[in-house]
Amino acid sequence: MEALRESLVIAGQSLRITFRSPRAILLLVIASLAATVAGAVVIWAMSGIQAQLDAQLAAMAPDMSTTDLANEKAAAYQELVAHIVGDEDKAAYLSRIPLLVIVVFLGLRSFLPWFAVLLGYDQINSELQDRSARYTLLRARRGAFLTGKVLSVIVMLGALTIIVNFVIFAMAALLLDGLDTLLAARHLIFFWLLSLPIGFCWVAFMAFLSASIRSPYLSLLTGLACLVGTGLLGWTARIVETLGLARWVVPWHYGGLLLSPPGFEQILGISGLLLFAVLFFVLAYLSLRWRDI
Amino acid sequence: MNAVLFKGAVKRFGQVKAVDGVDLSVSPGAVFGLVGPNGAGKTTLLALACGWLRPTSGHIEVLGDTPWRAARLKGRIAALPQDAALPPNVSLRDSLTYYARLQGFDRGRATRETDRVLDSVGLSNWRDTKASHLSHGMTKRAGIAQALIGNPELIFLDEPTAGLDPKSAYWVRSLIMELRGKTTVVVSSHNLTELETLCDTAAILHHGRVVSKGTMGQLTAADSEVILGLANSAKQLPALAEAAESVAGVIATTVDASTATISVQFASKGSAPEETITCVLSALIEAGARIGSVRRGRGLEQKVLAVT
Repeated sequence: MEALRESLVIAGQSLRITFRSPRAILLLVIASLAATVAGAVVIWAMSGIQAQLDAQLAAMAPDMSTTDLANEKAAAYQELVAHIVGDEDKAAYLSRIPLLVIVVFLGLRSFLPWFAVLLGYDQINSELQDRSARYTLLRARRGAFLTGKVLSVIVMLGALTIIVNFVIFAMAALLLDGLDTLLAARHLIFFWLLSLPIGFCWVAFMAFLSASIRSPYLSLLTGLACLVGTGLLGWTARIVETLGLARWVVPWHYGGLLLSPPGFEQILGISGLLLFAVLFFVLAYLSLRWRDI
Repeated sequence: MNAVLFKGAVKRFGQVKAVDGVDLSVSPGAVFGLVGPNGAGKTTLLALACGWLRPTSGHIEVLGDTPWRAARLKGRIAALPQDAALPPNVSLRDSLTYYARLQGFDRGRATRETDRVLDSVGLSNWRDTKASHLSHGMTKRAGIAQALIGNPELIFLDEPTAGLDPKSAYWVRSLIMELRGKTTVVVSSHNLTELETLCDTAAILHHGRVVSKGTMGQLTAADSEVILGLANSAKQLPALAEAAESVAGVIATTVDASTATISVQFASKGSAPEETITCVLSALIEAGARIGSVRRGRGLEQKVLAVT
């Protein structure tokens, strides 16, 4: 219990410092602006697609019954979703979800790791570099120090993603015709929760780098390089058959499974990401435990 | 139980042995000095005792426990590191309250304890100032303030007066004197005069090894030597030295005509050194000595220069 209390005190202090820091404010502003721009683009695109779909269906309308028209609309929408997610099997499930939610989740899945790197690259080593960690570690366990720092980054990342979701949702609710706001809100919350393992995985990875590499800028560069490297590996593994198994060692692959219908694949995706998170956290702990401060 | 115990402690950084087989113990309630030139291993030794560094080999105990068990030792040990900075963009109050909370104080008590220690170091008016905006002397005092939180049993002070003006240095020394007997203090410093005044025992380090250790009296020969500056002519000095040698307990005398001093080495068997010194002074006065100065021992500086 004492270790948990230490972690919460450390997390609280880190959050207090970070929310007053220029970097956090800058990231918040960038995220909000990006969300606004992305929201505007998504709404504009969706409005265009909706209008085109309605026009095509209207052309067929005289020859079709209402039921057939509805089925045709559903089929066209499913085809659109299949085109966006690149998977026809998933499209059948996802076509029941507002397109806005799918697009937002795809954006989160792509950008969340980058935010995790930018927020978490110096979570440990900034205090190691100026040795201010010495004052803390006379009074707290190294494990509690790590946990507190990771917790603070997760909270910040959570806050950022909530802001992004909210901005886009609010814009869509105001500007997008025919949006079922309650349905969209429910699915947005569900998919936001689904994106949490992605955040945990990459925050834990950056904690490991930050605990192992003394220089914050070196851990930032390493984190960015690993993001690009693992992304390339995963992409290559999808294309080159002999490398097929390699995709299972890359977190990006498990993020892709999250869009599967609730069932084995989705659970596999969540479990894989959480397993990576636990692995990186343990590595970070071992690194911090045995290193000189 | 020793407050601090090193047994064969070794710390390597790559090829460099910063601490090389150190055996030391510090008694509870003592003020213990660590002396030595730059690179002797003083800071490394303190960092090992605080659990910030892992020893390469050997055994270290602090208050009967291993130093890196922060859980068991927190609130009981504190330190002023030489080379660690307080978080620069956080106010003193925020930083110290945070440390107090980590030590187990609830929010209200932590704030009161912060106010108490800041008051005791004279920084009450600066509690809302960020650490990066403080002068060097204030930063040192803020560092000492965080070391006083919760009245710990053992405090490590690494160069506490380095770079301080005379008034601030005097204040730090007074604080250490106040802690004597109540708290075990381990001080490392280049200011040897300061350590002579403050410390009960000390160790001299050189190239990571303890080259000499003991009570301050043993290290400075304060309990076995007295140096007298005389206003007599050089011709009279040998006769005066003979007079000193006739006192019981005196082992040898050394005359330095250039400085007009006589050094008297003695062994106080069973009696206090002060008694022998008093007898020597009486003998010299009876022999016609005109005494200008009396100094016990050679000073820590002489000892350090001799062994390093």
